[in-house]
This record gives sequence, C-alpha cells and structure tokens, in this order.
Amino acid sequence: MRKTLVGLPIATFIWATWPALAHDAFGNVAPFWSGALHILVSPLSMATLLATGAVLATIKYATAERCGLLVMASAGLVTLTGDALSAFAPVGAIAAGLIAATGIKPEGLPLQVLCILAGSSIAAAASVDKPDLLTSAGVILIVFAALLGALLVFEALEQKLPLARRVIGAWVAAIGLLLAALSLRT
Amino acid sequence: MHTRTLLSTCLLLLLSASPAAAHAEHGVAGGFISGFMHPLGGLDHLLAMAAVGIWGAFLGKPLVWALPVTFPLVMVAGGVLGIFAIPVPGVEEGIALSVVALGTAIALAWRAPVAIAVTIIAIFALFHGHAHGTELPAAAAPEAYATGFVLATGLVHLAGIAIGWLLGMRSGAWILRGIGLLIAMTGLWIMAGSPALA
Repeated sequence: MRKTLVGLPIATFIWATWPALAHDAFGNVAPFWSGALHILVSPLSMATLLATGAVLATIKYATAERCGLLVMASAGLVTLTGDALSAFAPVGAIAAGLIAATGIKPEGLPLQVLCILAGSSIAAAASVDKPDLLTSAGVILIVFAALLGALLVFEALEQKLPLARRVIGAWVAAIGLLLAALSLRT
Repeated sequence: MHTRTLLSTCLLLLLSASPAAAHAEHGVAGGFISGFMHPLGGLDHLLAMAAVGIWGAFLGKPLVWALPVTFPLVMVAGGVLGIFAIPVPGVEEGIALSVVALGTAIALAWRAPVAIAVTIIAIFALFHGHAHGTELPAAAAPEAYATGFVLATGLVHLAGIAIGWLLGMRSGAWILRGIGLLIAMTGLWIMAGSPALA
C-alpha cells in the first residue's frame, strides 16, 4: 500500500506530462507548477492540509494511506472545476480542525467523508484559474508531499507534545470559521 | 533543554524580523503580514496573549494546553460578531481589562479551577476576537489576514508558555509574578488612556 501511495502521484505526473515531454527535454510544464504553487501560496489550503495530517497521524498507518489517496483524488478532481467551489473552501478546514482539536479519532464512513471534504476544500481554496490535467497533477503531487510531511511531523510530535495537534487543530478551525463567516457576509 | 533553546531562538528571530516585513502590504503576503502584525502591533493584544500563556504555565496541566485551544475557538465567536458588524459593548475596555485581570492572576499566582479559568479566558477572547473580526472584511486578502492573525495569536501564547518555563528555575515563580505585576500595571495604564509617562 505504501508503494501505491508513492507510485500514484509519480505515475499521474508522468502520464499527465507525457505529451508535453514529447516536444523537448522538459516540455511546457508551467500549468503543473502553477497547480502546485497555487496550493503552496493558499494559506487556507495549507492550513487544511496541516489539520488533515494531524487527524491522519492518530489513525492506523494502512488506513491513513488509503485516506491520503482519497484526499489526493478529491483535490485532483476538484481542481478541474476551477474556482466554482471556492465559497465552500473553509468547510474542510473547519471539519479537520475541529476533529484534530477535540481529539476524536474518526473511522469508516465519517473518516472517508472527512478526507473527501478536506481534499475538495484544499483544491477549492487554491482557486486555480485555468484548470487542466497538468494543473491537477501539480495539485496532487503537492498535496501528497505536504500531507506526508504533516503526517510525519505530527507522528513525531505525538511522543513529546501529544497535544500539539489539538492546538494546531484549534488554530485551523478558527481560520476556517472566520473565513466561512466572511464568505456568508459577502 | 536543547529544544527549549531552539524554540526560544526561533521566537526571538520571528519577533526581530518583523520590521523587515513591514514593506509588503499587498496580495497574499501583504494580507498575511498585516494579519500577523495585528496582535503583535497592539500592546494590549500582545500582553493579553502572552499573559494567557504565562498563566497557563502557572496553572499547569491540563490548562497549559487547554487555554491555547480554547482561546482561538472562542475568539472566532467574537470575530464572527465583528465580521457581521454586531456591536459588543466595551470591546476596548474589555481588552484592557483582560490585561489587568490576567496580569493580576499571574502576580497573585492564582491557581483557578479549570471551569473558572476557561470561562475567564473565553470572555476575554470574545473581546479580542471582535476587535480582529471588525478589521477582517477590510483586509486586502482576508484568507491570508485571518491565517496571519490566528498564527500570531497562537505563537504569542506559545511564547507566554515558554516564558512560563522560568517556573523550573530557582526564584522563577517570583520572576513570573513580577512580570504579572508589570503586565497588570501596564493594563491599568492602557485603561487610563495611555497617558504620557514623562
């Protein structure tokens, strides 16, 4: 399963960039980096990724791997809708943040729903302006890297500072709730 | 101890680098910096946030971590009231009072029961949140602004908890109580309208 987790984004990248790579050594992969950077420069996307990593760090590794794939797939799909779902972007941060803050360990369907929500919100918050498959591949790859990073950090913190994920979760939920209120107002 | 030194150095660097960040005032970076600087720029916000952390350190587990979790979540309630322009009476006075009250609690080394401590923090968080929320709709990049100020608030809490590590030193409790007294007196000065001291 771990091989699948690593292999899927790499395969997606190779597949999506294949036609572009046919023209020269590197090809025009600007949309790929655009997708990746949209996630990196979106504070809400990164906050949601952090909280999702905090939640996944509390569950079994095999389940976390499947959840990671679900987050990446949702993010990749929602990227293709552009900014159509941007109004719902704070939902993932609120859900993942509150679950991390309260210390609940979700299982089964609620966990899957959370992963889909989080993945969709991460992509919706990035509001990619010209979505295509390459952009989506960039989003998937960066979601993979950031989620894995967050997961490893929270796993390491679990020993020394077990409440760190609750504190971070509260911060992320606070950001999400404020932005949800703001989008309702406008 | 190594982790503590590293954390303290990082916090110090973050604070000392803030003047350099004053130049970018547009886009995501500008919104983030503007939000990040909001709790740091006002003495009342800064002292109250740090006092929450120091008092938490005095109160020990579980409150040392419960307060930084409770504060941002309740602060959001105040922030939402601010976003929707719902007036809350005496916001500025409430913020100044929070500095006095939290400083006094530290100075007296008051080990309040969990429910009372959380209630006190929640009431004050509402005032602070309202002040932040009122400015949020006008921000150039609200998403970045909100992230910046929540992050800054949390980091100042952590800085307060880090200051609370002085408790482990000989006479540390007395140093902290002195800091608490100083915070309370500054709060009184703010409540009096920050008159010139000269």
